[in-house]
Amino acid sequence: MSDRTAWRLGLSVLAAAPLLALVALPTLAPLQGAMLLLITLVGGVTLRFSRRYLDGAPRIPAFVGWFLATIAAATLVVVTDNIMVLALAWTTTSLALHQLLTFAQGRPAAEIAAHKKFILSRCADLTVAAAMLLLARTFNTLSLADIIAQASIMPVLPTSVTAAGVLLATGVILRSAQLPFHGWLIQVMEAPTPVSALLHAGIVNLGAYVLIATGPLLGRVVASQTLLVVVGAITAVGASLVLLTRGSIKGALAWSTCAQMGFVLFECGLGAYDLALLHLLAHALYKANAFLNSGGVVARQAVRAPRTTAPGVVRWAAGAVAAAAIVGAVAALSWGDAFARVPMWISAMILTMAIVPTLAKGLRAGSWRTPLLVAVGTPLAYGLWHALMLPLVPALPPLVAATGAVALAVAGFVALFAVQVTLIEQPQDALLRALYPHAVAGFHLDDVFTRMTFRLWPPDLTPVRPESRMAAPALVLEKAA
Amino acid sequence: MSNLSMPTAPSITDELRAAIDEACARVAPAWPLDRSIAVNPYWGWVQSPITVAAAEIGALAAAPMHMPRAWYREQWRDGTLTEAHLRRALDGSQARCTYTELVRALDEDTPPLPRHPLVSDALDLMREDRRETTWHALVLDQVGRTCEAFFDNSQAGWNGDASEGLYAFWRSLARTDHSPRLQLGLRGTTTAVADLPSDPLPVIVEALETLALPRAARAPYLTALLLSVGGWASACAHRRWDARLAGRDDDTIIELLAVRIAWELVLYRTAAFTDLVARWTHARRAWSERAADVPQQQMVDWVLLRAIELRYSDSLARRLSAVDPFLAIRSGPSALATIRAQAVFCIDVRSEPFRRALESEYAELRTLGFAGFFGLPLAYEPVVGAARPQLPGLLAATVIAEDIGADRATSAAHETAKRSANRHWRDFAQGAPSAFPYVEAMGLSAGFHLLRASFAPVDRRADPVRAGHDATDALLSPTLTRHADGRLLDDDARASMAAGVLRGMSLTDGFARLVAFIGHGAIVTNNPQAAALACGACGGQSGEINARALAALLNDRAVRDRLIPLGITIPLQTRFVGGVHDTTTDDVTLYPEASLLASHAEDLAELREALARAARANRRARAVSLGLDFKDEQVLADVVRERALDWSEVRPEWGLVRNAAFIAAPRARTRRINLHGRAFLHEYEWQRDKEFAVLESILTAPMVVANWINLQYFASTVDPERFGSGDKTLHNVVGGNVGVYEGGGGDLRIGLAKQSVHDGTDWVHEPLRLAVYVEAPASAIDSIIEKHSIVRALVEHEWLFLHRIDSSNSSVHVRRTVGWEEVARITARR
Repeated sequence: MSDRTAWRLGLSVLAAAPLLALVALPTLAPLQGAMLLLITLVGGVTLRFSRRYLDGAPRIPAFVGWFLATIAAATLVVVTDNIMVLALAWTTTSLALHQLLTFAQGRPAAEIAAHKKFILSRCADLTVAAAMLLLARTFNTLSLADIIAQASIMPVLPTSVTAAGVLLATGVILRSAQLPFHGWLIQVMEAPTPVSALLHAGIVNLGAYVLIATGPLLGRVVASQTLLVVVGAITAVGASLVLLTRGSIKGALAWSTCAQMGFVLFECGLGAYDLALLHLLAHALYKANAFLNSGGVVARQAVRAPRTTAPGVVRWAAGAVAAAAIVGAVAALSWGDAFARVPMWISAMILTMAIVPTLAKGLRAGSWRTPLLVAVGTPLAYGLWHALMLPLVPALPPLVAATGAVALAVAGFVALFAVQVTLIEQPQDALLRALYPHAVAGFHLDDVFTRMTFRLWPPDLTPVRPESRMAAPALVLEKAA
Repeated sequence: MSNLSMPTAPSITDELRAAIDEACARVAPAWPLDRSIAVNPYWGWVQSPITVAAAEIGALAAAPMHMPRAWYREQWRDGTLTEAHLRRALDGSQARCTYTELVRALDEDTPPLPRHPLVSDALDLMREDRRETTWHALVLDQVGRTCEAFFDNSQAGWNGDASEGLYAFWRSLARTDHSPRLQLGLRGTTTAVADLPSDPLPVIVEALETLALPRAARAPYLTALLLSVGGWASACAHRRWDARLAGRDDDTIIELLAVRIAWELVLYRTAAFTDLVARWTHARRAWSERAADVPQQQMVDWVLLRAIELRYSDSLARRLSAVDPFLAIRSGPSALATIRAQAVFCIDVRSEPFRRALESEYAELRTLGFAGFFGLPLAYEPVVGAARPQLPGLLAATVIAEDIGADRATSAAHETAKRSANRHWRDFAQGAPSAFPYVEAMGLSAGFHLLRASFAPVDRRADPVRAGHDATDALLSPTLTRHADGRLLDDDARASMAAGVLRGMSLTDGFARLVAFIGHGAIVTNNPQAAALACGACGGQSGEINARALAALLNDRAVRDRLIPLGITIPLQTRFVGGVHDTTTDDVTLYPEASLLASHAEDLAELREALARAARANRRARAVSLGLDFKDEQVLADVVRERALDWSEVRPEWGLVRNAAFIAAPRARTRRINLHGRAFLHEYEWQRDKEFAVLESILTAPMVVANWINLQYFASTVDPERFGSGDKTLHNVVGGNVGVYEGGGGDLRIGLAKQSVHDGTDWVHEPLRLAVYVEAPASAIDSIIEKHSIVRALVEHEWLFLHRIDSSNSSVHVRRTVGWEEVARITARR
């Protein structure tokens, strides 16, 4: 098949997909509909981008084929009600994506990253399959709707469901690049930009979707919710620290996905499925755009004002008071009943911490328009989106995760805030200086994992490009040794 | 291993210092992305004959300087490379090989090149367990990560303390870097790093002594170390280049060398292999034997290269010599009183087809070629933000241009507010933990941008050129205001600058009513290497500022009055206008001063119409190379513009691809020749050049810039791994503007992306060394070669080929070391 035909076919399929999605919408749950629209939008835009971007690249028909296979499998994950089909489709998504991740051939770094992902995904396959089998046996059905309906009338969930919940949460953690299983996500930027966009915006968040879809069940399992809160928060905070040190645009974006996925899992662990879905959708669009647009960073950085100097204690204090007052007022006036829930309180707290630096720096620079827009606009938008998301997700369960875990997570975000404040106020603070090399090294979390991978199941590295700098030393050495 | 903790710092000998300096001098600078210009990556080798340099680089870094034999083989088979070409190349070369051997070599594959072994390589070969990453990769990754953090000044929100220099910065990171233990099971590297000397030079001394390297082997080893992190070394070399232009110095490149050699020392001391040095010495010995064969091995390749070079330059020489010698004088700018307009373009090869189109659309117009910074060594100071150089990288800016006009204050306030808002939002979006609520509150709006960029991209063309200027700035105009040191630029200084520029372009009389200076820029979107398509003579920016500043200078009455005593009288009715040629779309925009609108309305309209017609014709001519086959002019124009705005376009245009010649002669010499956009054209009439000062400046500046561009394209094609930046679809911008990775990390990539020289099926660029043609007397050229060691090196070491066109009989001669040799002469005139 010629490249031209392949693109035409692929793009026609993806152009038709939104129409099909519209037809299918009435038959789907709102959550499924939202995910379907997201996947077709991200998939369509990314494939369209690839057409010119990959012009002249080899194996275009294969690229388009695997791209469509990935999208199709991801679509199946979100539209099916059958838990076994879901598990299989999820595996298929991962296998098809694997072909895209190694699309630029002869790049050992890409091969290694894809290999690590392969291992993790197969582990996730096992835990997810086990979870699904347990659920199927317990409820004697493969329909997720039936399972949820049956479980809803059980006052206490059987142990097998708890086990299934923990297995499922583990599978999601493995698939969502949570620390310390994140290395592959950072390193697959050895694949072309649109593949990164697809992965970061359309695929890596399927785990969060599964958590939301099974929310009525999982939301009641203390162990899995606690696990999600802990792992999610550690990842959100840890990856944020590493992200701050990253000097390459794609490196920063990849660590950001890692952190954001952690935050979504944290929200799922709190049972805040409305926020989790909002985060999932918003992050997908944000990240797809950020990846595809990453080449423009050179032009963008040229027109940015220099960093503001340290605001000083007084302005920080003023900023903190103002932020709390603004978020409190906006939330009280516009968030309605939602404000009464614990996750929203936590959100409001994080929101306040987020706005403080903007206000303090605004006070320092004497510019108030944008800081005020940020301070008022963000909580307003938050409330609005939250209200729009509520009808799309299953009924929100009460908070079941262990209080200690939640408190620890919140403490983590506060610590992160403290680091951020110090970075602005006193970038060469002694504690920060001591922490810095570790953050630059990604806390060495991936090194251990990589070594284990090489030992247990070494990737097959066929040097297609012997000239590559990553390849083994030149021929003459081999002869000499 | 013996632990030499904190030895007394060994003193550095002059001989060692020379070896370090030699290694550092080999590395050519690489400019940051936002002011990136083409660089001859072999610049550190030009004082050696190209064959010697190629053999050295080839052996040190396995870096080829020739196309693979298969590339020639294809041309041989399809008949574009013939026996005549090969014989012609053999005749003129000292290569000891026969025609038969040459033809046989075409059937063979290029033999692989050796690479100088490093301690890390020797260690890689001694590891028993191959199921691990390599030391080579680990060290490259760690050095890359260090340099990324060190050089970054805009991407990261958290930067370490870089004030103590790169080596100290590396040590602070490596002291706690456990990756050697965790990834490759080597314990003790962190302690070994802590025990290293705290200054860069002592560590180099200590390493060379510990590794017991013979004196003669030092410089090659140090060079090989730098070449193993060649991209980062080029970034360091740029710091040094910039510092030296400003009369200072910078040793970051020595610090990088210290970092890389420190790794060798650390690995040597911690790896538990007693015979490591023996093995390494053995490998080095084997390498030097192989390295000695390289010159012989490359001999055939030089003849093949020469064959395709002569194929091009012989035919060009014939066409140049076919021009009536007296035509040149008759139709020079001075001779035509009837011409209505003159247009001066950049020497850039993309100007040539456009000038040809314009001349055929507007018979009463003459075009000239001149370096695109129009001879103004300026730094441009936008209304907001730091000044940026707009001149060739070889020079330091001496004057400042800034936008003056009634709108300046408003514009600055507006721009400042916009940038500060931009900064607030970015800090909020990328801060911690603010990135989380940012995504939830604002992330969905990215969907809007995603759709708009895909289906209805917005024209942001003002951005890359004059960052942050809006249409509201129409009243602003770039003007030379002061010296770089702050002194005001007085009228005498401005007049003498103007005189120098006009003499440089051989335009000292015969001024038309309207004279346009047309710089060039390229509108592209989402392209980290956009500067590679802009004007290299303007420091990787659009030439708009320089063109407009020069027009403003020459329209100034005070300047004109002072030009008269300098021997240049500009007629009262002559006015100058600046403009810019967008090489992506071929649109030309003129920026006339308000005073011209009344007096020269008709001339401007006429020129604008001709420019629009030329744009259509040139777009049509370029369409094939862009793969566009639209019949309708308007559709073609729209498609070309869409491509420029398309965020997924990796080949908006072909830049200076296929560049091969530089011609300094009156336009009359080339006017009837289709040069296919492969030639840099510099206007030059030696008859007007007193004491050959202009010729001297052409051979020492524009010709050198052309050599840099020529060998950048050359190197990106023959050696895309080291001197090209690889696959554009994997590019990952480092530090906002420092450079790109191909993928996640490791070495910084320099040079052009493969997409810029290759269309996916074939190499579009044909790597030929520059063929320079100068119409001037031999004695004048010879004395300049004699006077300038750089020119002599480029010519006599065959980094380019210098030809002379004899004005009396149009014969063409090439300059060999031994003297001039005639290559073309038309005896019977048709």
